[in-house]
Amino acid sequence: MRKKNKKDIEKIENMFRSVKPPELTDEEIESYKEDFNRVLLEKFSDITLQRDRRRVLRVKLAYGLAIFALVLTLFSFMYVKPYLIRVATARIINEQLRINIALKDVIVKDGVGIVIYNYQEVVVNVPSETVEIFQPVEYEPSDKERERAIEIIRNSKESKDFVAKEGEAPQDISKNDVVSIEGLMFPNSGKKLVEVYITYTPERYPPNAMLSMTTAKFTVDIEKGEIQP
Amino acid sequence: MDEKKLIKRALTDREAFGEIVDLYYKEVFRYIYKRTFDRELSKDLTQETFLRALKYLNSFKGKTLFIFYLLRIATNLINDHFKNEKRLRDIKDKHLNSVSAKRDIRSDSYDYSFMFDYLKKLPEIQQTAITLVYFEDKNIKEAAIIMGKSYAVTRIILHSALSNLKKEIKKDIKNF
Repeated sequence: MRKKNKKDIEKIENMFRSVKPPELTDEEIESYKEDFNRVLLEKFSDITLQRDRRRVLRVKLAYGLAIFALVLTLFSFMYVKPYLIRVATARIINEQLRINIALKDVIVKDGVGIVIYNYQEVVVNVPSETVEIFQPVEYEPSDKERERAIEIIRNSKESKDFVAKEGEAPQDISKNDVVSIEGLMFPNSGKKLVEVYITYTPERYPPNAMLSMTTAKFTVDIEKGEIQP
Repeated sequence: MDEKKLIKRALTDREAFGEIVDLYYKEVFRYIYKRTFDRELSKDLTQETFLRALKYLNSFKGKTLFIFYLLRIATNLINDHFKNEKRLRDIKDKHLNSVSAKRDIRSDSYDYSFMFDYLKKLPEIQQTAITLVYFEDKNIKEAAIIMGKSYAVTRIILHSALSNLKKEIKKDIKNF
């Protein structure tokens, strides 16, 4: 069967070899070529122009794609990587310190995640998953920082509805005198908090006590423009 | 003149491209005519082959002979043309079948039009392989370059083409 098939195919091959394909005369083809040369005369400059235009477009497209890739890479470094560090920092703190941290509270600096929690700076090295805790250092706030901190307090809800002790009626101490201002700076994040002491009159005094003033402490985050709880 | 230099010149010089046309027009035309068996169509497709070659001339890297590049363009154009005609294929096939059935077939008298009728029944790629190897005297390696296939694949295509032709011819010639 296989031999027969091979024989048949050989027969077809021989048929093809024996067949003489149609040949046109050189003169006839030459006349077609002359016709084509006339077409070429008209179209040559258009085609070469189109080709050059296409090449320029291709180059522009290549540049466009390269720029797009570059922007994408930068975008990834600017936004995606910090986001991933934030997520990892929150996870590591949750695992190791059992504290839930909102992603917006994580500061990303030099590739590490930093969280200010309870007047301490928690620094998380994401690749090694290590956590370090730093205490803030005192510093002297600038005049601008002082003014800003006082302004934030004067306009805050916390000072307008100040409650010294649970059960007492709220009182407005926003316009009261400022006694002192101290600064706290966290060493790794460089974050600053300003502690402002304001006088107020307590509602109740112990019996026979002299009427006197005492102070309330507000801790202000100048960057965020709000009072720390 | 060196072919590569001529092609480089032809990118911007019409006369240089004219030299290329002088060199290869006949060969391209004859190849297309063997595939189409139609003078006017061959003329149009040859013209389109050269215009397309001019349009994409800067993509020719000189890894093969320029004639192979031209024949590949021609092959693509012919195959595209046949694909576009596919809707008419049924009608044409009916016509071909009736012609074959009516033909006074004697196994010792085959001509090109007889073979062409059967060739037209094959897929375009198989028609290309048969035409290049048996009518254009290209070896399988050269046919593979023109078709843009590997040597092994071209051999398989050629063998499939011959097997299919055998089946088709056997339908009409009982004592084949």
